[in-house]
Parts: sequence; C-alpha cells; structure tokens
Amino acid sequence: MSPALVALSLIAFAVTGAVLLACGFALRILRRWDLASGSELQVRLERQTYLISTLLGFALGAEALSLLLFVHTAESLSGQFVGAMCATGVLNVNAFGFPALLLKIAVFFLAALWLLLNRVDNRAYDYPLVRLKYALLLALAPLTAAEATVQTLFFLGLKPDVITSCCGSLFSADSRGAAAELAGLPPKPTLVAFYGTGAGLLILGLAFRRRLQLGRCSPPATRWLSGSPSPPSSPSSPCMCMKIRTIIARFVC
Amino acid sequence: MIELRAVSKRFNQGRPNECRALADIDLRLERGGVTVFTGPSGSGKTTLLTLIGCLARPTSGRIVLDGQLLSNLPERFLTEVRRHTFGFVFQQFNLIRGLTVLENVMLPAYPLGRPHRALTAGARALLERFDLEPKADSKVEWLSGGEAQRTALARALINDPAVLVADEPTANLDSRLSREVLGLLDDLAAQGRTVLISSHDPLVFEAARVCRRLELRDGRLIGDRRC
Repeated sequence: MSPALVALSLIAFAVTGAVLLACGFALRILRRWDLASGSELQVRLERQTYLISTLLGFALGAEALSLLLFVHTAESLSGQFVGAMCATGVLNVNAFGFPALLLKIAVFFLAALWLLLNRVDNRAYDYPLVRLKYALLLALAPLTAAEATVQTLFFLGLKPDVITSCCGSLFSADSRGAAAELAGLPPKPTLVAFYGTGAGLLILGLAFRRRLQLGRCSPPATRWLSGSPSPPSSPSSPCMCMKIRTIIARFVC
Repeated sequence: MIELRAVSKRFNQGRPNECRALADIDLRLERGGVTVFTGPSGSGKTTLLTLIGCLARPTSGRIVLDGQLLSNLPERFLTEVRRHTFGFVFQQFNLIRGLTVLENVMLPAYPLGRPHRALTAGARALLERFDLEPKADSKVEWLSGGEAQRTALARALINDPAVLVADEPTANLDSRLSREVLGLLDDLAAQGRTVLISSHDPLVFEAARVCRRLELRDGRLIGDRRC
C-alpha cells in the first residue's frame, strides 16, 4: 500500500471519528443552547464549543486538503494499471472510484462552508452562528462517514490485473454521458461560455462587495445582509439578525 | 456598573476534592467609590474578585459590565475587556523578579502596542506620582514592602483602567504603610475609578472613602452595608 493511501485513509477515519464525536455535542447545542441563561450547562457548552470548534477546524481543514491529495494520488497511480493514463483511468478501476471522488468534493465544499461559518462565528462576541454551525456539522457527519467507507472500498478494490479505460475513451464525443457530451461541444462557443461565466461571476462579486461597502445592498439576499427592513427570510430574532449582518458585512468587506 | 447574577464557582468539579467557593451571588456594584469585601479566610473574597476581574469564569451565573455580558465572552474578547477595564493589585504583589521597577510597571501595556516612548513617559509619570521615580531602574527584589506595593499599584494603573481590583492590599504591610496605601486608593476613587478591595483588615474598613462593605462567609453574601 502506498504511503499516500495510508495517509488518506488515516485522515478520512480521523475526521469521521472527530465529526461523529462532535455530533453528540452538536445535538446538545441545538437542544439546550440558551445564551440568556447562566446555567451550569450553558456555561459548560460555551467553554466546550471553543475547544471543539478549534479541533474541528483542524480536522476539516485536513479533510479539505485531502481532496487534492486524493486526486494527486489517483494521478500518480496511473502507471500501475493497464489502460490507465491519468487519474480518470485509476478512478475507473472499480465501481467506487468516482463515487469516492464525488463524496470528497461534496465534503470539501461542506467543510469549507463550515470553516467559513466557524470563522465568522468566532469573530463575534455572542456566538451568532453557533446553532447553524452545529446543524451543518450534523449534515456533514453522514457524508464524512460515507466518504471514508467508499474511499476504503475503492482502495481495497485496486487490483493491478484490472484493465481499465483511459480518459480518451471516456471523454470521446462518440461516448455517452455528461462528460462525453461536454467533450463533444464545439470549442469556440464553449470557450466563450467558460470565460464569459467566469468574468460575469467576478463582476457580480465585485459589485456585491462594492454595494456592501457603500451599504446599498439590493434585494433579495443582499438586502438581508445590509439591514434593510422586511428581509425575505429573516431569523426569528431581529437583534440576532442585525448582528449576523454586521459580522458578515465586516467579514466580506 | 458591574452586576453578578446567581454566580457560583466550584473547583475540581466531579472529583472527590470538589470545593464550592461561591454560591448564588447576586450583586450590583455601581461605578466609583471604594467597595470592600470582607470575611474570614476561605470565604470566597479572592475568588469573587477574580471572577469580577475576568481572571476566571464562573461555574454558573452571569457577570455583566455596563450591560454587556462578560462571563460568556470567548477568551479573545475577555482578554481585551480585562486589559482595558481592570487593573489588579495582588496580595503577594506578583512583581517579576529580575526586572526593574519601570519594566514591571510597563509590562501590562506591552500587548496593547502603545508607542514605546509614550509608554515609558506614562510609566515614569506613575512612578513619580507614587514617589518611586528614584527607584525606577532598581530591581524589584531590592524594594521594601511599601515600595513593592506602590509599584504594584502603579503597574495596575498603567492601562488607565476604570476598575481597580486589590486583593488584600495591606496584608503584608505595617499600619503606617497600610494607611499610606489606603490613602493612595482613596485618591484613585476620588478620581472616579471604581476600587474593589478584599480584606479582613479593620484599617481598610475604616478608611475614609469606603462606601460599601460586603461580607462573605462560606461562599455566600451575608452582609451588605453602605457607609
């Protein structure tokens, strides 16, 4: 077994263990968190959330980085399988390769979102996103467990005698499936659409940032961030809502 | 104003040597004046002052400073409040041996990043105020008890705190030095600072500017006398 596979397995199981252990704490936060109360339980939850979110920050950071290691490892293993010329071929060696990659991508984005929420939450003095953060953790737990399982099945099913298909056949215009259809698109309009989408996204982001700085965010979602009246789906407490807006605005700007 | 709501503190929770230092303290302390916490050893005076001064957190209950909850703040915010709002004078002075008087006084201001020249000038002004200027470059281990106490006071004031917390400030001093230190504390209260003192020294209760005397026993507040 290659050291990279051992590292990936260790990260996956360590992160799954950490997330599953934190789930019990997340449930307690969701059920019992009450900032207005000075009860012993509340004080203990406040102390523990700092420790647990710090540990989870490291764990999920490692998990997010492991996506890169996974793709790099798949690429580097291509020489060991007949027919594989790149990561695509290796991921096709058995039925768990692409599901593992997709799960890792899903965990990557959710982990990134969790880290972002955690960072924003830690910048405020009254834990405005604590429930949201731990609710997201509950959603993340089954995914990390599934990812660790599927990744392990993929690694255990890597048999060197399997003849796999290379990426050339997978992305050929004559093949079937979304990848093949994308590969079959005419180059010029595809390039224009690709760069156009990227530029549009960049312009939108800059415009959003500018409006936040000027305090003139417009509906629907941005209005809530800027603090205009009648937000479309404001949180139950208007005070909390204002605080979150302020924090997010400060964070974005 | 500082408000304590049902504040309790237990040490070594869940262990055989668990100890309840404070139980259900409800208290409101107005800004300004000198408040003295009295009571026998082990009554919870020092623990109460450390909770008010954000040096420790309560096991349960809330502490509110000017309408803002303190006891639930994440550590980084609590540190900021502690640095800017509270100054501490400890029973054993807790001066750093090997450093000079001036360096000891400047020490709590270093994390705030003030310009060094302004900080030195501020520290020297404090030393002058407490008649310690000639000792500025002396090591603290060479100081007498009274000088060490005044150095500790100067250090507590370097960040210009609104609240001064003094734990048994006269415990290691004779009567003359005690009166001298109490005079300095009176002056600070006269300038509008809130001075909180824990003591079981009668000299302290009888000091001119003491405006409130709170009595503790077995971790409970059993007396509240306004003078």
